[in-house]
Amino acid sequence: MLGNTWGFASSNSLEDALPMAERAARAARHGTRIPFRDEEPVEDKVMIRAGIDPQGVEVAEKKELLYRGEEEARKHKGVASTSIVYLDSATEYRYMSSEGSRIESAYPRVALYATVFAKGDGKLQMGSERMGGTGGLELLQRVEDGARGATERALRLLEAKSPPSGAFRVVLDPNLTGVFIHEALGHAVEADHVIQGESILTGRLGRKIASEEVTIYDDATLPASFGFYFYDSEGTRGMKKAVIDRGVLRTYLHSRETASVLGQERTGNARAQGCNYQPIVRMSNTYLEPRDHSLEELVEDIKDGVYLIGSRGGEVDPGRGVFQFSAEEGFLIEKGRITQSVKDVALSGETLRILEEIDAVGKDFGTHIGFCGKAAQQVPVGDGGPHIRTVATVGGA
Amino acid sequence: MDVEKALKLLERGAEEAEIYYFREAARKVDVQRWEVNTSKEGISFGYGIRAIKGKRMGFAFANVLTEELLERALKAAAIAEADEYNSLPERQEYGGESAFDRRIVELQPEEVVEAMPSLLEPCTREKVQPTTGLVLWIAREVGVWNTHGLEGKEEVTFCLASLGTVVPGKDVTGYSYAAARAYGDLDLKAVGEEAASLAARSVDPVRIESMETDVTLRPDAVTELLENALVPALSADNVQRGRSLLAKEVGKEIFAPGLTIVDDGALPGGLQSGLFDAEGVRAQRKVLVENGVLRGFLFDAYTARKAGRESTGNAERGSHATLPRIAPTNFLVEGEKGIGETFVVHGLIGAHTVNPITGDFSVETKNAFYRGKPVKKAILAGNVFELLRKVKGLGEDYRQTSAVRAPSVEFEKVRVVG
Repeated sequence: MLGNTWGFASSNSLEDALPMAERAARAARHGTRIPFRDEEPVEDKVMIRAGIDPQGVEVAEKKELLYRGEEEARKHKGVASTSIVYLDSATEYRYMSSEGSRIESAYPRVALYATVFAKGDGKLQMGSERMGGTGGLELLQRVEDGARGATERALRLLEAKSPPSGAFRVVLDPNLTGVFIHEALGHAVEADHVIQGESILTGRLGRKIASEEVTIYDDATLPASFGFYFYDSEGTRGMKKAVIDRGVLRTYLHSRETASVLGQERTGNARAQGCNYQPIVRMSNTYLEPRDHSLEELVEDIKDGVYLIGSRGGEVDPGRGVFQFSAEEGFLIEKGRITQSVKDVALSGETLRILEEIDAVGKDFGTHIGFCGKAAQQVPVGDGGPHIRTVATVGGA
Repeated sequence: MDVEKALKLLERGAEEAEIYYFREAARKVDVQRWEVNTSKEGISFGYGIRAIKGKRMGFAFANVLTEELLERALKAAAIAEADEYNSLPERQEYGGESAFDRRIVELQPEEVVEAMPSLLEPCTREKVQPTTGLVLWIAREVGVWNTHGLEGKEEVTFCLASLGTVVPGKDVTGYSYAAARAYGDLDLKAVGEEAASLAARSVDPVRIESMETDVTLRPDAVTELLENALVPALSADNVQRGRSLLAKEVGKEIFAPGLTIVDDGALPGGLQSGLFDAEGVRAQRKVLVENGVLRGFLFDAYTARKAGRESTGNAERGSHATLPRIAPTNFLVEGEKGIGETFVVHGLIGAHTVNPITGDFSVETKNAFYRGKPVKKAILAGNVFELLRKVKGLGEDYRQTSAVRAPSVEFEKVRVVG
């Protein structure tokens, strides 16, 4: 930083540190001036210990885990192909600043993706499940459940009909609630979007933007979650904060830069994919707080609706407040009951409308792992919540 | 350690081995609203090693070439599953010229900062506000060597520019993106003009009823749809694993008779052109769909051997840290010209969520216009294999921002959900 302006340069070799510092200083000569606040330096050394540390387990044993999943999938007739992918990583971070901060942190992470392809009657379908988090192999012990879930879904989809299209009352499962919260709301509260003028939530702090049923957290402290961290990539402590409290927008998500520009408190949301990337505002684990309804109660008042399960991902245009996401599977809801299986159900809607239309929130809770992409950087995140009920446009394929 | 010595060491422990070198120097200038926010640069480099012993393949990577790295690759091979089709390409000759622009290597951020007004100026004229924009330029060196005597080395360059826009208080956005192999071919003004005019033209959108109508996708939307829904079905890997609906369709008319799709890794000036692919196989042209008839698939060395044929040069790696996988190079969409403008869609939201197996899609639109009027929101729904039978015609506005090089394409009777 030179004259309150950032410059950034990187290399994956420490031998280049000096020339890189010179290039960063040169880059800082033509940037925007930031009213950057001083912070107290932090000295800390923290780490997460895995229950079963993947670094101490032979590859053969890890392969066994994958075979357990494959074997489970192959038990079912109609399975054409399976893909079971396992990832583990041991990441060490070292953060040093001229302000005096010296932080070392270390995290083991594991992830497992099971995708099953089923074939029947000239048709082809797939189902998938993912599991994992910050920790070790103890998080993947239910590999058979994941493989079975993916298989049964692929087989159901072979029989599924195309969904109706139009505006419907919909019930989202915890996985999709998470994707919805992440895509529709999470990106719009990233303060860099707010500053750039490309968020529909600009100027709405302290205002009611969702129904009173809605409380949403971004929480870097959630144990074993994929988006867990002690400190973000600028040395700010990761924390739990209510983004929406009973429908009222309480905070944006900040880096030091965005908090300084908007004159707000830091939230510890500056994350970089690695040392070759500049920290930018990112979510950690984003979830909707459960309330008091069972799934049956959410469904029983719906005459004609759609129940959506599992995510194939989503995307948002935060400046326009329009999002889309695709469910893996759906069911029709007819006269208060879950009936016919439907495939390729995608939802779209306007963020503010849908948040306002959430009229009932379930009492269950689940989180899912994912990698979120922004500005060509991928970081591990978690998202989740309970079953929820709202209104959205369903587009059948 | 140099490459020659490393190959000799690998030969002692493996029947076949490969060294892949990757070095990328990227520089970038970011704008935020009306100002340059910051400039960045980064260098990243390293080596990826593949070793095959007893038909077992191991892979390891690091940013320096050391004995320890070679040993890790050999150790990984020892515990892998044997697969009779694991093998590396034979030595080959390369032709043509690398897409390399000396100016990109030497270009300094100061010069790009000076040029930024041409990107932003159109926003002033159209009374819209820039949100974020960037100019990024990359010089990349790649090298592939294997124990069959294969040796490929080249330097290539890329650059790109993008700009997002918003109309304050109106909740409408615009976006444009361009990419080129030489800095002189990157038209900042054109990017600025498109991003500004798309946002300006999208003000006060109307809600529409659900309907079936002829839909014209602009090049960016065509690219997003084809990359996510069609390209996976053309990968020989998916074909061989029983994951492609096109597996048994070679020689059959699967798409509109006017439609031809070619993958050409050697296309002069093409955004993805190179002398060779990520395994060192010569870049080449192959017809995938000819006048609506399916002619073939994209192969890497592994799938080619499995099929008893030659690789088509379609192995790709993001860097030294990843294994090769099948991907298109320059994926050219050709056909009869002539398009209407009934329902025009510039971009898609959620194209990566289409079903890559069935080709079913249901995606939200960006900057859509119905009979010239901007549309508030609209989902396009259908199946890509059916959609490509209903091609009415192609435009002349060819554009390439990734593998797909396509013009606008008009499709007959597409379901639009308002």
